[in-house]
Amino acid sequence: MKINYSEYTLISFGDSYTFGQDVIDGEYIDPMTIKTSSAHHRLKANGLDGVIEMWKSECNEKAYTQIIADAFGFKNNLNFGVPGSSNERSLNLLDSFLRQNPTLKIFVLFNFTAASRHLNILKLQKEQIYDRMPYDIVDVNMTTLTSREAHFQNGDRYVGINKRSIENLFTYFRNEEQETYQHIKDRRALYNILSAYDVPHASFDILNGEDARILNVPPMHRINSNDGLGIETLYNNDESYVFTEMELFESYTKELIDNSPLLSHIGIDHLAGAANINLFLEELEPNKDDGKVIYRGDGTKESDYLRYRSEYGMHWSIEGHKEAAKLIEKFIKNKYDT
Amino acid sequence: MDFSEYTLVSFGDSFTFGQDTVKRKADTYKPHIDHENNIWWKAQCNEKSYTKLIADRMGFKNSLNFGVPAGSNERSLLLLETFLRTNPTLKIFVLFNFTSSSRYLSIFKLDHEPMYDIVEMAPTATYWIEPGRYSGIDTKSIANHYTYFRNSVHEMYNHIKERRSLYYMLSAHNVPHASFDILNDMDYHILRDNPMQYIHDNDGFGVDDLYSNDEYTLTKMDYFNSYYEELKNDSMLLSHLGVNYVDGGRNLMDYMAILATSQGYDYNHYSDPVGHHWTHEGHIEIAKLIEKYINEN
Repeated sequence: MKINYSEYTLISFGDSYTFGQDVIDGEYIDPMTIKTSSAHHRLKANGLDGVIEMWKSECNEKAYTQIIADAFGFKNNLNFGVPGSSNERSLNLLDSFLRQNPTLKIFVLFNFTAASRHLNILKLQKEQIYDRMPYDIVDVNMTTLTSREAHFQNGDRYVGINKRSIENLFTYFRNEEQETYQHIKDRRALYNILSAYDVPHASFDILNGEDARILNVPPMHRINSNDGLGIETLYNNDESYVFTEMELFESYTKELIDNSPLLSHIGIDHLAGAANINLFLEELEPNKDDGKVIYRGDGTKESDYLRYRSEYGMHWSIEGHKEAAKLIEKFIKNKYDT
Repeated sequence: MDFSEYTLVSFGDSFTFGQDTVKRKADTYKPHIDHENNIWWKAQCNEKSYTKLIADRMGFKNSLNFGVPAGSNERSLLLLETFLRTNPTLKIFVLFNFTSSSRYLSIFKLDHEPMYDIVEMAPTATYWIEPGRYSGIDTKSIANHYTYFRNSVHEMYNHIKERRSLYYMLSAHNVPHASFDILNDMDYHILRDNPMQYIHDNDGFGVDDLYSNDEYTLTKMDYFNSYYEELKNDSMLLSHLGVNYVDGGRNLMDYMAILATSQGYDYNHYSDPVGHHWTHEGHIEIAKLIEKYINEN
């Protein structure tokens, strides 16, 4: 499939890396503290909404989506990267966009973030309710949720939600096998949405490391078989139909081993064996100490000055985004221009 | 459509399975106890269920019943996804019964082994989860989970996700289908209460800058609002036998109760007095309704 990119809008989904967080100094804005709509509304009421708009615009402008759009000559681009967000959030936004624009020519970039993140609708404590709306949509992530706001930890904000309940959630209910399962479901969901609209795309993992984990220990080595009561009587593999045991897990593992993903996905084989693009860039990093600490004249360490890591936070610098864009561009060219 | 070229493939819960159309000795919720009896029981129940009745009456080539007692929509969607992916050229017609939105699949760690089980979850899951079997899972943790994390509004969100998920799977494979709600009553509640009015809008940090109705369209909280509009306007993306078809009831369970009383019987005339699922006679009535819907659509 040869694409005339100038007819297409590049639409990009993902987390803070997609957003371009930390490419500029955003010290005055912490999305983690204003992600909840109540905080956002307060900022709007104080006339600070324009500051957020400007920050988003400046971050997006220097992020890999814009670099790729310029390199290929896309008609334009839209950046749906959301700091702290989940794959679930990205899939919902993609679903809304495709359903509302079924005939628009688009090319989708989809960055899978950490599988542990998910959306939850939580009930506000009575004293936190405003506009008579008692529920918030929250991006739940064990580390950010417990560290970013004290009132999450001590249960002041949401009914029944505190440090302990969140730890129990991630230890027992959303344990690591549940996350692997969720990861496979997210991949399949993206494939079905894009297939339904026949949309060209490239997906990749910036923070997500589930594929490497699955390749290391296949899920079926850890999960007892159970397709549902009586379903084993429907297992079959002849001309009438095919249905095999625990196929969701088996087929996904096989796709990874055979390097035959259903999605147009930048997998581990494109990342010199790294589990995701973030780790790939770490390996590429030219300013590493390589085991020995090198001091500069001012006493700071050479490793404090990483080329691809931003000086403003934990995300990529502009150089990091350029390097990631190169990798994604190469993949798209191989997939769609040959 | 020439149904004789199509296999009817049916997904759902115990109602789809045909539970209680045939008596069973073993405990339904402890399937590992008597495997051979399960196989016999499944074959007998499936034979008397609405799927087989519809397949025979409409002349389908054959039928496959993927109904799972106590199964969730999530389970049904996984089984369907697998079936579609592994049989891309097979001519199939899908029946999809949405069960209660509170059910879902969870993978729990066995308490004394480095292994995990896939478990059908429901607020009453302790009925089939043996005490102490899974680390951190007990009556209290399940109650907390359903009270705080999977609260009623979150379930409404999951309901919409599952509807959309089914739509995309079927659209990706261009499969004819009919979906319906036997136990699920979420559409009725959404129409009655419009729960979206109780949720603060939040499409993600900064996404409000992308709302547009110009070169492209993106509106606020479309994921929720579009579903509500579809219900109000009776314009579902799925071929769905919705609340407009059930004579004022919330779902097909209600429809059967209304039908029974309109015929001069007790409201539970079509239900088994012990197991509370439909009798074979009940399945015959529901098959008629679904068949009518398929023919009309």
